[in-house]
This record gives sequence, C-alpha cells and structure tokens, in this order.
Amino acid sequence: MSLQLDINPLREGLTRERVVDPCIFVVFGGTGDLAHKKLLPALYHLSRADLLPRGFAIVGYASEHLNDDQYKEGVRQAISSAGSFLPTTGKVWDDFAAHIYYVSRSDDDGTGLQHLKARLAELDPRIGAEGNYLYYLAIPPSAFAQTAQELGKMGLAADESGKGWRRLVIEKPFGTDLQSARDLNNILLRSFTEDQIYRIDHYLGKETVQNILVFRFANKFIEPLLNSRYVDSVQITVAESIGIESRGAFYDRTGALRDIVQNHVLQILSLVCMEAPVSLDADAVRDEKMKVFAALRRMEPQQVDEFVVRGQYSGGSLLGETVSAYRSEQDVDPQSTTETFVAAKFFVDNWRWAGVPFYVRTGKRLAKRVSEIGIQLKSVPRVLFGKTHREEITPNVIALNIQPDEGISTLFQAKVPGLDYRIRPVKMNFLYEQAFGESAPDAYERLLMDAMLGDAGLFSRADALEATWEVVQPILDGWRMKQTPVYPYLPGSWGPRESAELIGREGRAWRRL
Amino acid sequence: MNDQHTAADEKHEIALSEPVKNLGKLDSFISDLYSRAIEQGGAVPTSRAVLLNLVIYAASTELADEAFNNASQILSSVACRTILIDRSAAKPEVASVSLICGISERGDKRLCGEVIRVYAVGGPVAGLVLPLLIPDVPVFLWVYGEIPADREDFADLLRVADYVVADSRTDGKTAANLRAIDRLRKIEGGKRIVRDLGWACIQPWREATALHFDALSIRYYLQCVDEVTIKYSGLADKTLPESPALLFVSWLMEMLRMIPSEVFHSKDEGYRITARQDSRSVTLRLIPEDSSLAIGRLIMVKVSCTQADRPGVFTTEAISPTQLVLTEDCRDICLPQKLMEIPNPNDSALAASALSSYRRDHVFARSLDMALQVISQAELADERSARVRL
Repeated sequence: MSLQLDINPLREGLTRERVVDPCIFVVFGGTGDLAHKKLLPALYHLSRADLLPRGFAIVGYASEHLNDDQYKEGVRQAISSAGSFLPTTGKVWDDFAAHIYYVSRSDDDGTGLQHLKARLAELDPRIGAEGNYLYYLAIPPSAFAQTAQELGKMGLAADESGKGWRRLVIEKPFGTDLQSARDLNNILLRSFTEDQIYRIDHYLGKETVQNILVFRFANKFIEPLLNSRYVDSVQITVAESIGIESRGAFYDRTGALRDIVQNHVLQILSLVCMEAPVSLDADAVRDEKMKVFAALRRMEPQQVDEFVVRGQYSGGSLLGETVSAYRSEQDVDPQSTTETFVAAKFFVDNWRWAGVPFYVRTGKRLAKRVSEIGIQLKSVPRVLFGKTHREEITPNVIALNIQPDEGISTLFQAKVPGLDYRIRPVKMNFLYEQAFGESAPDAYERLLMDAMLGDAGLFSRADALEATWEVVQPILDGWRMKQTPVYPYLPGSWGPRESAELIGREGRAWRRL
Repeated sequence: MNDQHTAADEKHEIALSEPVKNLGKLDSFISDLYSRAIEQGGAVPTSRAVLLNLVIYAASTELADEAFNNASQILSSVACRTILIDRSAAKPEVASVSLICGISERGDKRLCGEVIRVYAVGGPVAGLVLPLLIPDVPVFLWVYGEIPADREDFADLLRVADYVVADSRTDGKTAANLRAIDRLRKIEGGKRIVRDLGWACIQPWREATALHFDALSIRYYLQCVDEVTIKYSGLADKTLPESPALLFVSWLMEMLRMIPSEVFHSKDEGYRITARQDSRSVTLRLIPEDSSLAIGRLIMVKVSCTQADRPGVFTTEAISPTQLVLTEDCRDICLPQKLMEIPNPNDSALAASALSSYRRDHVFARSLDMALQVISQAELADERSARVRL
C-alpha cells in the first residue's frame, strides 16, 4: 500500500495529531492593549510549546510609524510586562522574534491596504504560507466593518488560487444591540463567508467552561438529573471584586448586561442546557447551542422589572480599602445610569427545562471574584428522618466552579454519627489543582490555536449571536421605556437588596459563595 | 537509568518519613503524618486527589533506592499513591511511609502524596499490595530493572495491574527486553496496556521529525526518502542500550511503509537496514557514537532524499540534553533553523509521561512489531554468516 500524504503520516499517535498549517497571523491593532496583553503573549507561549508551524509569521498592523525591529522591541517589552514566565532575551526569544513583522497603517492612508497586501505577498513564499492568512481585529468595534470591507476590496478576503484559507477573528462586543449586531453581520458577510468568521468570546476558551461538556456528556450519573423533573433552579454567577479600572469610557457606554450577560453568561447557560451534540464538530455543537438560544424566553419590555434588577456600585470600603463610587470613576459620566450589576431570571422554554428558572447575576465590586454555576435539585418528596421534629433537608446542589477554585462540588445529606437520625448537609469537592496539579493554558492560547486550526466550535455563529441579542434587547428597551431605577449597592456586597428580592419572591435565595 | 535526580529538589521535599510496624493501620498512620506535617509550619499540607495507584517492583535495595527518588519526583506531576516493593531489604519494620510535598502553582497549598515502601523479602507480595491500593483507580505496575518474567511473585502482581511500565533499555539487553515486553503485552489476550520508557524517551524525536514534514510542500519528500542515518550515544559494548534507536527507526519505517529486506547488526557498527518503500530501495543506518549525552540517547537523525528531482536533507540534532535543532537543506521552501526545547528525559519524567495517558498506544505496538522483525532478520543474517565462516 503506498504512502498517503494528505496528512502527515508521522503525526499518527503523537500528542498533536492535527497541526496548524503554515500561515500568516495579521494583528490589526498590533500595538494596542489587547495585542500586547493577550494575543502576543499567547502566541509566544504557543510558539515555545512548539504548537505553531515552522512556516509562520506575525504581522503587526497599526497606525504608529515603526519598523520591524522597533515593533519587535515593543512586543518584547509588552510580553515581559504581561508577566510571561518565559524569558524575553536570548535564543528562546530570538527564535520567536524572527517571525515578527510590522506594517504601518499610515503608509496605507488613501491606498486601502496596499502596503499590507504587498508585505503579505512578499512573506508568503518565504515561509510557505500558501495563501493561509488569519486577520485578528484587535481594534475598536467601530472599525470592524470598515476593515472587513477593505480586506474584501483588496482581494485579501479570499485566496485567488483557491488553495489557501482566510479567516477573520473579531472580539466582542459584536454590536451594541440587536439591530447593530445584524448590521455588523451583514457587512462582514459581504466580504467573508460565515465559516471564515470567528467571533471570539474568551470565556469559552476557559478550561472549566469546556469541562461543562465533559462533565455532562462523559459521565452517566449527571445527565439524567438535568431536567425539570429533578432540577429546581440554576444559578449562574459571574462576579468581580474589582471595579471598572481604566475602562470607564468603554464601560459607561456598555454596562454589565452587554458586557457580560449577552455573551459570557448566555454562552454558559447554553452549555448547561444543550442536548448532546452528535459530534464535537463545530456546527454540531453550535447547532445544539442555537436550539437553547431559540428556546430562551423573550420577555416583553414591560415585564423587565419582574425579571431583571440593575444596580450600580456606590463608594465605600472593600476589604478595608476605600473605593470610589462608579460615578466618580475616571471617564464616567457623574450622572451615569449605566449598570455595573445585573440580576435576571430566564426561562428555557423547551421540553427538558420547562418551568426551571435560571437566575443569573453579574457585577463589579462584589464581595469576591467568583464564577460559578449552581444547579439546585428539588427537595426529596418526603422527609423520613426525625421523630419529634422533622429534619430540615437542604436540597442537593451540584456546583461547577469556573474560577478561581476551578472544580466541581456537590452538596448532599449525611447522617451525623449517633444513635438517632440527625442529618447534616456535607460537601464533596473536586479541585482541578489537587487532581492534576498543573495550570490550564490561557483561554486565548486555546482560542487562537482553534482559529488557526479552523475549528470554530468555541466561537459564536451569526445566528446564535443575533438570538442572544434578541433575548437581551427587550431588557434594554424596557429599561429605556420604563426609566427603571439603577439601584445602588455597597462595594463588597452581593449587589442591591432588590436582587435578593428578585429571587426571594419565589422562596429561593442566592447561593452564599 | 541515567540523569537521576535526588529525591528532594526545589519543588518537592520529603515532609516526613516514618517506619510502619502495622500495615493494617496505615490510613490512621498517614493521617497522623499529615497532622505532624502541619506542626512543622508553612503552608497547610493537603492530600492530592489520587488518580492512580503506582506499584513499583524493585528486585534489589539499590534499585529500590533509585526508584524511591524517581517516585518522589513523579509526585510533582502525577497524583498517585505509590507502593514501592523492596524485595531485598531485611528490616525490622514491614514498611515505611514518606510524605512528599510540593507547593501548588498559586503558592498557597502544600500538595502532598505518599510513597509506601514495603519491605518484602521472599514470600508473596500481592497480599501486601492489594490492601494498600486506592479503590476504583487504575493500577500501574512499574518494573524497575529487568523484567522478572519467570518469578511467581511478579506474575501475581501482574494480575493486579491494568498497565505495566517497563524499560527496554535495561542493561543493554535490547533484543531480550523488547521480546519480554512483547510477551507482557500479549498475556491474557493483550488486555493489559504496556508502556516502555525506551519508547517514551524518543517521543520528542518523533515530534521533531514530524515537525519537518508538517508543511504540505515538504511532506512530499516522505515518498522519496532513500537514506536515513540515526546516531546514538555510547561506545559499543554489551551494556549499550540500543532500543531507543531501534524503536525510532522501526517507527519511521512503519509510518513510511518501508519493509526491511536485509539487516546487519554488530555492536561496533550498529545496524544497517536495507528496506523497500514501494519499489524503491532505502538504506537506514543506526550508528553508535561517543558523546557527552547519556548512553543510548539519540544524538542525530538525518532523513535524506538524494535521488529526487528536488533533493533535500532534514536533520534533527541534540545540542544539549534538553535542546534539539532542526535544520533543512532543500531546494524549495527551506525554513530557517529551529530550536526545540524538550523535557529532561530522566527516568522520573519518562515514567510520569508513561503514567499520564490511559490510552492504548497502537503506534508503539506496530513499531515494536517492526523492531522485533528487524532483530529477527539481524539474527538470521548473523547465523548465516556464522555458518559461512564455519
């Protein structure tokens, strides 16, 4: 039998059976914060782990006038200050730096992307990229559409020979409301096809988020419980103890609903609720997630106060440190009504989840930094234990901890040793750190690898994106129409009192995290 | 067995080590060790979640001491309960337990595991080991030293094991060791998964060689390879472990569908293999060479296409124990030289990698079959030439 070379036969059985094709990685906004703090350090780590192809080039594209060497030096400093554990001097660094190039956008003023195009044409044969280019738009969202159009006009959105691939990676926010998200999708789709577009949500690159699928679909005992017959309610918490830091200008236009709920929270919710996909192919997974988004109940704007609470942190003290009120933060309107906290109740109206409330809360300056999914099961139908008075039985909880103590815990009842039936809830804890003892790769490393490999499973598809905006849009409309108050809350708390009332109306309480 | 570490290094320390007189009370003894480790101060010791049982079979105290050091190192990357069977030390106590701790990546916890060293001179050992195993997690049996295939106590232990880790490099007995490993993997219909440290140590070399041919434009050279030269460290003598080099060339032949037609072997000159790939002839040489690297380790792999329209040479070379350099000389897109950092291939790191996967390694099985075929052909050629001399 003769040798088949459509894949590298020497890769069989190795840790990485699939590898990235030789390619050029173009970073639009190559001198910006995202590139410096996340993308370039992630690429450096991938390079050191030998996960990048030998034929590889990074082309930084930004407005500054820099030559290749000046750009490399900027990248070196950025990686160094991003806290990389790898050295940024010597042979290790030089090897990586040899792959870095720069094109100044100012040279392209009035010419479209001529200089960029010429540089790509020059580099391509040198590294054997064969037309494989990935464009990462680490630029303000307002420039997404124009950049995508320019790439299209210059013939850079598709390889003329038909051999190479072209991919476009964009960062959230994908629009600011339903209409703008649709408009952006329409513009992107004029130059690129849907399978070329990778909408990144870094939360999906987190190891513990991916473990939701493993926990559900690689174990037999959990899946039969996850439905309205056994689950009382689900709580999703994405809490930060920090404020908005230097993101005042962005945050004041955005708020917690757009920043966290529309993307991270609803993505997590979809992973908890989805049916098992037929395979792990990108579209098989995304089809199942899409069904969840389609089943998420769209509330009427008039109902917003019944389902959603918004809050804003006031000034105060957090762990003994005095912290400013949101309205006193830099670049924030002193009269701002932007929410820094959201608590909401959602329903997934399908056969599996009918009637189960999904409570979500997210905010800044909360009691601690913690992201968790708490699945509370229904109480047992009858309490058997205790003769003179019935024991209070705390319902079982399955908690998936996303950060910081990544792991899974369950709360169940156990008999207190003794002659009678006294029972107490006990917690069984699995911690990644104790089992595996090694840190997970950064979310960006996973997502950049997937984008280069052409695996879109962890990226949002246009239909899912629009569906999540359809869920969130009535909330935005309701707040605008009803002038819903933004309730203040103290730093170090779990949000405004009204949040506890939202969940308390149905006899439930937020989990104490 | 080279490049050994000492038990306590920067990352790991032996928190406590105590003799045990009654193995039946081992659990309370271990709890007590944790309490006493707390009294020592510093970060609170936390028991790691145990993912597997590691049973180490060492035929001599010297080997058991070496195995203890390696077991301590392994605990930094593999969460396991380790039971080390020392078959030769006569001690008043039945066992000793050592608590090995390391600081977690966040620096807030001391993650600990235990190594239980059982002194079992003579008599069956399975009865000593079985009660100590953590239930429901796999059992890996690491044969430290030569495979004692004909020993009854070893056969008893084998029945307990889901996985066996052996080392084909032991004492330079390449053919005997590879055949013993082959027999191990076939026992009870092959239900047990066997790992070989001689195979584990060539993993970075397989990665590096594959890396040369990832680009489609270069991959086509794989169908016109006509010369392969593999150099490995060590002066030719009977203790030189040849299994890494032999397994590497066997892997390459298996993956590239080369069929060996003639094999010559001598301890001085290594192996010379003539093989066919489709209708073409390929020469593969394994050459021992004096080097500063530990004996048996690969030094250089050169894959050449000399007869092709587009000649090319693809070389991987060790420039230190932890660095490989990849260079290419070809007419098309020749990529710049690449430095590849590899883990230090000491026994503990190799064993940790052997313990890190629960999968059956079909590529190893096929490469081992090919290596045994090469050995048989070499022996046949040797016999023929001996007859001719007579």
